[in-house]
Amino acid sequence: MKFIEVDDSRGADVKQIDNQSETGIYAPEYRQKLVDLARGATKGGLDDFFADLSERWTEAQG
Amino acid sequence: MAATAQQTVEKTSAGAEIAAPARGRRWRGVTPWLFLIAPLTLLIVFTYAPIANMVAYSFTDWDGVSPELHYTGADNYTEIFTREDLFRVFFVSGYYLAASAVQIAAALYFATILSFNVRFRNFFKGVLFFPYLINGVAIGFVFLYFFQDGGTLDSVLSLFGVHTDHAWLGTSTSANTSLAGVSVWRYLGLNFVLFLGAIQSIPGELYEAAELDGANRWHQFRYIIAPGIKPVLSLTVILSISGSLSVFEIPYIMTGGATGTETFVIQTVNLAFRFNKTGLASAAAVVLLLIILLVTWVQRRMVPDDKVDLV
Repeated sequence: MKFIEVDDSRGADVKQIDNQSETGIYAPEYRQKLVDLARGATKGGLDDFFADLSERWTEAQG
Repeated sequence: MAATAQQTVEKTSAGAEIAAPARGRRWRGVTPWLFLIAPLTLLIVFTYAPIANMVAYSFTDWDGVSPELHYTGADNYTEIFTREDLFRVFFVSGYYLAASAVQIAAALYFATILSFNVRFRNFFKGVLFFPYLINGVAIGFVFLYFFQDGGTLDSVLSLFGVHTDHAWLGTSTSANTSLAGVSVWRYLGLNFVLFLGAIQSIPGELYEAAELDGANRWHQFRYIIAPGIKPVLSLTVILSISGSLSVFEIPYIMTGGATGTETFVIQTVNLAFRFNKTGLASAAAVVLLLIILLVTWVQRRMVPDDKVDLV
């Protein structure tokens, strides 16, 4: 087992992009949506879900 | 000299006589405003000032904590009206709208029945009104157990030999219907009491006269009760529509907006407190307010509040 030290020097930037893109990487809704998708309660595929996320993330980065 | 002194005394006393009623009249004019100071101050400080503040925030990019905020013009409003995912949640309100129709019909039915002389009338009134007194969070928890797999609803159904094997909060349609059912259960009592009060304010002789003329219960309802409670009915419809558009407590507690039960208010709360977009969330709140005002205005135009004259 190997511990990886998390580098939080740019944590504020990540937080800002996260808020700006409304991803919520630490929020329960993110998992909720994933689980709903996995058990077929919401329509759509996993790839589309992630594509949408990365699109918003990239947009917030720019 | 004595005469002039006499004259001045007379003059001043006469002046005082005239001044006293004038001052009294002025005081009488001021008195209502003195009484109004307290409620008006409370109203302005705690209702209108926060709304003005919210409208002001809706034109900024404030994140809710930062001391600095920038004026962004109508950007927030453009974002709300151009992002269709922000508006899609209004479909969920459709379930609650349909539920309010059921709710109004049921409340009207019970109010009519219990306005006649029925046995255990007061007991049933209490039973129907009781849910309205329970706190919304408690209702959420109660109904979480109710809809659980093998929970209250499933146990009761299995007593009648029905085994659904169905997760009530599992699919979007079923979850929204269940939650709307909970909200009917909760607010039925309020509508019922409003209707009952309106029905009981109809003078009793009218029923007697109608009975002498050979009217049955249905005729009494159709021609006496229905027109008599029209103002309260239109008020209830307005309350139901605005309530359906701004559902929050029950879905927030029970599902947290999962399984397609997210409403506009839950979304606004998430924008403001999860993603620190207080400016955008304020704009969303303003939009919701405007939609509700618009719906109310349209409804008042379509069903004007005529003076009801039964006699």
